[in-house]
Amino acid sequence: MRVAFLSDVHANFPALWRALEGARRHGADAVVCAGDLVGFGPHPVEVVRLLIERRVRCIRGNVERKLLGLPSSPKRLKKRLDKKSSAALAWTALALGEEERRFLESLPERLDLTFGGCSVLVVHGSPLSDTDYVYPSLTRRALEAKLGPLRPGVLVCGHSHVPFTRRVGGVRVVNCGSVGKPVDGDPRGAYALVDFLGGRAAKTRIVRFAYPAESVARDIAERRAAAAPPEEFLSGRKQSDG
Amino acid sequence: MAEPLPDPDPNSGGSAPPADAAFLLRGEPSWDRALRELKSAGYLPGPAAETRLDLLFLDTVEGRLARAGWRLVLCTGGRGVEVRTLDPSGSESGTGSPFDGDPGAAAFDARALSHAPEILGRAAKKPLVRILRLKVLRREVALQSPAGPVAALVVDRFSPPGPGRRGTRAHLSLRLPPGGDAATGRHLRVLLRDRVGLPEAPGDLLTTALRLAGRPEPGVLPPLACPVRSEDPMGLAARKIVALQAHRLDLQVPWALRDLHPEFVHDARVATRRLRTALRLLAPALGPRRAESLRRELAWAGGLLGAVRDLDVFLEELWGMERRLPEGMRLPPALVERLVRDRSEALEALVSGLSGRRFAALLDRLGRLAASPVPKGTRPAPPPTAGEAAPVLLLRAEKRARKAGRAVEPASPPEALHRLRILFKRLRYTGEFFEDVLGEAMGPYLQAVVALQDTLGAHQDAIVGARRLVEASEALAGVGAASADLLAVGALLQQFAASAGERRAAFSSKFAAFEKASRRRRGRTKGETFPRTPA
Repeated sequence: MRVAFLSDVHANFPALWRALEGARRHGADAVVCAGDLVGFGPHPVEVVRLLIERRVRCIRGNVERKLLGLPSSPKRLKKRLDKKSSAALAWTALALGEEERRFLESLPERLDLTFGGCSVLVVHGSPLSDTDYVYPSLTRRALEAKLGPLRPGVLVCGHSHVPFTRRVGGVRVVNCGSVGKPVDGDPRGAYALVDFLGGRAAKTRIVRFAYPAESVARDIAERRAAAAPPEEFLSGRKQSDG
Repeated sequence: MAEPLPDPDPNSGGSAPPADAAFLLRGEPSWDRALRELKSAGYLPGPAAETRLDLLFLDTVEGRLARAGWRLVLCTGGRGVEVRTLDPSGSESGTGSPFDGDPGAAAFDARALSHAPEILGRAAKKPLVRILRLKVLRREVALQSPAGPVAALVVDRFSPPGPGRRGTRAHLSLRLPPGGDAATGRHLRVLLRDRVGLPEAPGDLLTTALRLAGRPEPGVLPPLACPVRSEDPMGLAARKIVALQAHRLDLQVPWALRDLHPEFVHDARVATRRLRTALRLLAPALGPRRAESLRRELAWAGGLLGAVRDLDVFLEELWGMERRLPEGMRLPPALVERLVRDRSEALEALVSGLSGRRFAALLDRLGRLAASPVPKGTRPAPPPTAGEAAPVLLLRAEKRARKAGRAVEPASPPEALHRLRILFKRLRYTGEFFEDVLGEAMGPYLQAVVALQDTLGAHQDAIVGARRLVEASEALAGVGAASADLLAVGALLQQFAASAGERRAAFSSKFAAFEKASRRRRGRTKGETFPRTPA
C-alpha cells in the first residue's frame, strides 16, 4: 500500500494541487496531511476546500491551533491586521468561511493509523508538542525522549519545513517537509511517499515537485493578503536567511 | 456544492480588486476538463448557449478610449446590431459611459455604423475608427452554487486576424454578475488557473486577438515616448516630448492623407505645431542647430496641412452660416465651387508632399533625435532636471502671455489678438508637455488657458473667414455675379463680423478667468522652491 504524507501547505493552492496530482500519478492509495494547512499564504479557502473535497485526512498544526484561538469578531480581527506578529493569522481567520472553520475545528492533534499492519503516528511538530522540531540530526536518545513509551513503526511529522526520512532506533522517521513554503533553499514543494510492505517494513522517499510560485506571489499582491513575503515562495528561503 | 464565500480580502474595505479573469483555451478537451473540475469543486455548470457574433472594436486613432480603460464594440448577431461599452473594470457598462457629457458622441449611431466602412462615429470630437473585426462563436455557461448563479463562463472562438494565421483560438472569460461575490470570482480564477492549468490571457478578447495578430494595442505609446518624470534630466525629458509628439504625427498623417474626416488633418497639424513649440522651447537640451533645422521642415509640413485645415474650418463655418441666412438666400454656387476646388488643390499638394521622401526623412530625423543619447552636463554642475526646469519655463511663457494679454484694449487690431493667441498656444503646450511634472494644480489652470485660446482662435477664424470671403467675392464680382449672390455674401460678412465681435467681447472675461486660475495655481504651488534660471 502506498500513502502520500503532506505537511505545511500554508494556504498555497497551486502547490497543494500539484502535490495531490503527483501523489495520484505515483499511485498513492491515501493522502494524509500533517497540519499547517493555512496561514502565510494567499489561498486558505481554496486549500481547505480541496482537502475536504479530496477527503484528505488531516491533523491540526500549530497555525490552526493559534488561528482557532483568535477572537471571532471581525472587528477585533481587523485590529490585529496592523500587528506584524498576528496579521497573517488574522487575515486568514477573516478569509475563512463557516464551512472551512468547522473543518479546522474538527481536526485532531494527532493521528494513530495502521497501514498494511504497520502503526503510523502522525503529528505536526513532534509527539511532545506541535511547536517542537524534528530535524535530520535527530539522535536515538532524543527520539526516545520525544516518543516516551510509544514505539510506532513510522513517525510522520512536519513543521520544520526540512524534508528527510531516517530510521532511528527502529522507528522510521519521516518529515514531509513543506508542500507550500519550503525553506531549505529549494523552492520546489515536498511531500513523502511511503510504501507499506507488510509488518513494520516500509520504504520511504521524498518527492520534490515544481509549481508556479509566481502565481502565489501575484495573488498575495492582488488579494492584499497578510502573508509571508512573496520572495520566500520564489526563493524557497526565509527572507532573513539572506 | 460550493458555499458562498466571505470576502477573503479584509484589507480591501469593500473595494476588492476585480475578480473577473480571462484565460486561453487550447481546444475542446480543455473546455470539457474545465467544466469537470469546476463541477468537482462544487460549481454546477448550466446548459451552454451558443451565438455567432460579428464584433467590431472601435477607438480613436490615438486609442483615447483604451487609454481610459474603455472598450467600444459594435456587436452584430444575437439581438441585431448593438453598441456595447465595457468599462474600465471589464464589465459591460450599465452605470457609466465613455460618452457621458460628450457632445461628439451624439454622432454615434449603431445603424449608421453598420454601413459606414471607415469612420464609425465620433467621441470627444475625434473620429472612431475600426481597430479590429472579429467573427466569434460565443458559448456561455452559467455556474450555479446553492445560493444561485455565481458567475458565467464565456468562451469566444475566433480565427486570429492577419495573413498566414490558420486555425481557431479560444478566449475564456470569467464574468461575475453585477454585484457578484468577488471572493467566489477569485476562487474560480485560482481553480481555472491552478487546477485546470489554463494559461492566463494577456487581457480581454481584443488584447488577445491583437497579440495573436502581432498588432499593437490602441493607445499604447512607444517606449521612447513614455511620460516625463520630475527627476528626468532635461535632455531626456525633451527627447521624450519629441518622441510622443512625433508618434502622434506619425499616427495621424496616414488617416489625414486618406481624407476621411477633417479631424485627422486637424490633429496632424496640431502635432506639427506642438513639435515646433517643443523644438523651440527645448532647443538648448536638444541641440539648437538640429532643432532649428527640424522646425523649418515642420513649418513646411504644417503649411501643407494648414492650407487644407483652414479651408475645412472656413467651409464648415460657411455651411453653418448658410442655415442662418434669410429665407431665399443661399451660398453663391460659384463661391462654393471655387472653395471646393481650392480645397481639392490644397489636398493634392498635401498628399503629394506628405507621401514623399521629404516627409519620410523628417519623421526619420525626429525619431533619431528622440533616440539620440542625452548629452552629459558640464562639470561640476549637474544638468537640470525636468522638475527644476519646467516651472521656470512655464512661468516664462506665462509672463509673456500675461503681459501681451494685459496690453489688449478694445481698439487693439486683430493682429494683436492673433499674436496673443500664439503666445497662449505656446503657454498651453508648455503646460501640457510638463503636466505630469507640474502636479495636480495644472488641471484647472490648463482648462482656463484652453478656454482663452479657443476664444482667440474663434476670433481669428472669423477675421480670416471674412477676409477670405471678401477676396472670393471680389473674384466673383469680376466675372459678373448675380446681385442675389452678392447680397448673400454681404449677409455672410455681417455674420463673420458679429462672430468676431462676440469673441472679442468674451475675451476680457476669459482673460480674467485665466488670471484667477494662474493666481490659484501659484497659490497651490507656494512653498515649492524654483531655481531662478534653468541651466
